[in-house]
Order: sequence, then C-alpha cells, then structure tokens
Amino acid sequence: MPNTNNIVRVIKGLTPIVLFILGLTYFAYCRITSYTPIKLPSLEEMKSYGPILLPFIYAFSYLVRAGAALLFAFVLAGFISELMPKHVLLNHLSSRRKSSYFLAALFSPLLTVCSCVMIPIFAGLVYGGAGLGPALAFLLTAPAANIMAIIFTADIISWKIAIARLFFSIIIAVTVGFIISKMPWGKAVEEKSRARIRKGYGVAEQKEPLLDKLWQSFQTTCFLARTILPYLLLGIAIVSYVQAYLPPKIVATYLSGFIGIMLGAVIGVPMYTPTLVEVVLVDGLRHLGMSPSAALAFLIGGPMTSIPSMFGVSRVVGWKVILSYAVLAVVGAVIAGLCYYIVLGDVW
Amino acid sequence: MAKKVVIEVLGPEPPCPKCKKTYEVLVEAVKELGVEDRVEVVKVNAMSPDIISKYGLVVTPAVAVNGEIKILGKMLSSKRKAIEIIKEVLD
Repeated sequence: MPNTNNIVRVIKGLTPIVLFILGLTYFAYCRITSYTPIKLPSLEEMKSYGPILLPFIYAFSYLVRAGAALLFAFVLAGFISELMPKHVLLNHLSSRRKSSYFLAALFSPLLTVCSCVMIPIFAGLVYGGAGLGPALAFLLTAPAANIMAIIFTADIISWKIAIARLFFSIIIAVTVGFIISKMPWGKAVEEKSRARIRKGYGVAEQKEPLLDKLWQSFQTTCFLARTILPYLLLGIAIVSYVQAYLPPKIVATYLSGFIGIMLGAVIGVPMYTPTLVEVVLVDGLRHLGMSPSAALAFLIGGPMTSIPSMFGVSRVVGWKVILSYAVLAVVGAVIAGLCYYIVLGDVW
Repeated sequence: MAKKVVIEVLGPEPPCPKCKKTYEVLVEAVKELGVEDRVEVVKVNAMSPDIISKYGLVVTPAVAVNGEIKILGKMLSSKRKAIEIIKEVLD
C-alpha cells in the first residue's frame, strides 16, 4: 500500500516541525508576557516538604516551567545534527587562515550537539586541519556555548546572562587558542602534526528525501533527550537539596562581589556538571544570593575546563597544553565576570 | 573469492553511545543479510593520526565503505537503511 506509506512518511516528517513550532511559540509566549505556568517553591515551602518529597516536587515544577524551552532546544538540536551540511562546514575549517579561529568558534555550536563528537574533531583539526589554535578555539566554545545550554540558560536564568555567556565563550576561546599556539609547547605540537595535512576527502553522502531526514532528526532528538534528561533530573534533585539546606549566608558571602567571581570561575574546574545541570545549579544558588557576575564566571569557566574532556584531549596534545588552557580559561571567565559587573552591575 | 568489503565506523575512543549504536545496527544488518563472509564491520578510532590522515576532518559517528565516507556525523539507527547501504556495496 504505497498510499498509506506516504501518509505515514508525511506524518513522521512533520512531527518534529509541529513540536518545534509548539515549543517555540510557547517558549516565546512565556518570555514576552512573562507568564510562568508554575512558580518554583519558595525556601520555606521547600523545607516544609521534607527531604523525601522535596526532589520530586522540585523536579516536577522545573519540568513544567522549562518544558517548552527543553522541547524547543532538543528539537532544534535534532535539526542541527541531521540537516546541517557538515562536510561544507568541515571544508571551511580545514584552512590555515587567520579567520579559521573565528570559524572554529562559530561552527562549534553548530557541529557539536553531543559532546562526544568534540574530541575527534579537535584531533582532526590539530593533525590535519587548521592547527592547534583553531582546534582549541573549537574545543573551548563547544560546551560553554552549545545551543541547548544557551536556550536553557535564557529560559531559566535570563537573556542577558545567556547572551553574555555565548559572547564571552567565543572571545575567550579564540584568545586562549591564539595564545597557546604561540607558546613553546603549543608550537611543538603544531610542528609535530604539520606533516599530516591532507586536503579534501571523498564524501559520497547519500541523498535522502527531506521527509525522511526530518524523521531522523526527530529520532536524534529522542536520543538526546534519553541521554541528557536522566542526568538533568538527577542534577535537579541534588540542586533541590543544595537550595533548601545550604545556608544563604554562605552563598551570599562567598559567591558575590569579586571573591564570588573568582570562586565561581574556580569551583567549576573540579566540579563536573553534565550539560544543562550547571544552569539549574546556578538558578538554585542565585535564590540564595549568588551574584550574576559570579554566575557568569561559573557558567563559562566550568564547562570549558570539564575534566572528562581534558582527559580525552590529553591523548592528542599532552598535559602542558591542557593545563595552560585550563588556567587561561579560568582567567578569561574571571575577566568575563568582571566585565559583566562593570557594564551591567548586579542585574540578572 | 572476491575481496571483502570493509565498513568502518569512525568514532572516538572510548566509543560514544551514538557510535556504538551505529556499529551494532550495521553488524545486525550484515547478519540479517547473511553476508558475514563478504562484509566486515570494524570500529576504528577517529582520533588516531592514521585515520585522520586518511579521511581528514570528520564528525563522528561516521561510516566509511571501502575508504569512502557514506555517513557523516549522524547516528545510523534504522536497520533498513543499514541494509540499503550494504546492498548497494555488494551490487
């Protein structure tokens, strides 16, 4: 029955589009009218739930509140991963011009929906493409400025923080990449790998009808949701305890002002938070008195220096490069926090 | 006997979930077609300099058939598609 098959294909292909529009509309509507479907519980309410009920109620209210943004972000990530003409982007990335720094930083959020994709591209850039500097720019932008994280930040925290996070991540990534490629050990890595340049490679990707591609993008969306949501829920549950039982006095003293910016950038290094959880944590802490500039420093410094990706990268470039980029990223995060404070002050 | 067809699944080491899935789907498809003696599915490390100098920059998971990239940066999740790819090479 070719006819029913076609109908099924159309329905399958339209599913992600419909969900995308629904998510976007609802997300935009909530933003524009500042309507919130459900309020997060206040501190007193949280304590009154008791330790067993608390994480469930907290997670539930989070999901209701951020549902539209999450839906929108996940579907968008699916589109990007399936419909982006990747070989075109990659060909642009393989050049050794100065612009490759910015291309690497700009393409990074488009190419890396899932963080495990990052390290092979990084290795490819070091060995066969644009070189160490752009490779680092790519690596550092990816986690801090990934599209889902930015949308989620905008929804949960604020547009200002989300835009600042994206902007400073790119600037810091490009600067750090440039500085390290000029350092002695950075140069050594570049020398070693320069011999391997290879230009152009055969990609004979199969052409597929758009409807099938759309359905595949939806499958990717589901896959991402299955991979990320469990960690996100667990993260939310843990944050609910932090918010309810961590004395606000400690947060207000150590996570605001200049110390706050420094600490915000530094605590992100040993603390590994799965994607999106860092946003929830910051949201919990801001209700306890964390300042916006400290939050920004944390949101930039933490993902850039995540320990798993440092381990992965260490096989490609060695620890000297990694330690220097980690230090520079933390410094960059502090500067970003300071800039935010100078320009906008304590405004979320 | 004809030369064996080699299907390479490019992924990082340790493998990411998407690459694992792609590999499993391909292996299953080969089994279903009953062509284990003609097609070999291998998982290769996308981070090794040898693979990079062979294929250049890749987004993983990627699938290469006889040294030519067929799928770039997409998870292969449907067995039907995997079978299509294998059939195409065998013809």
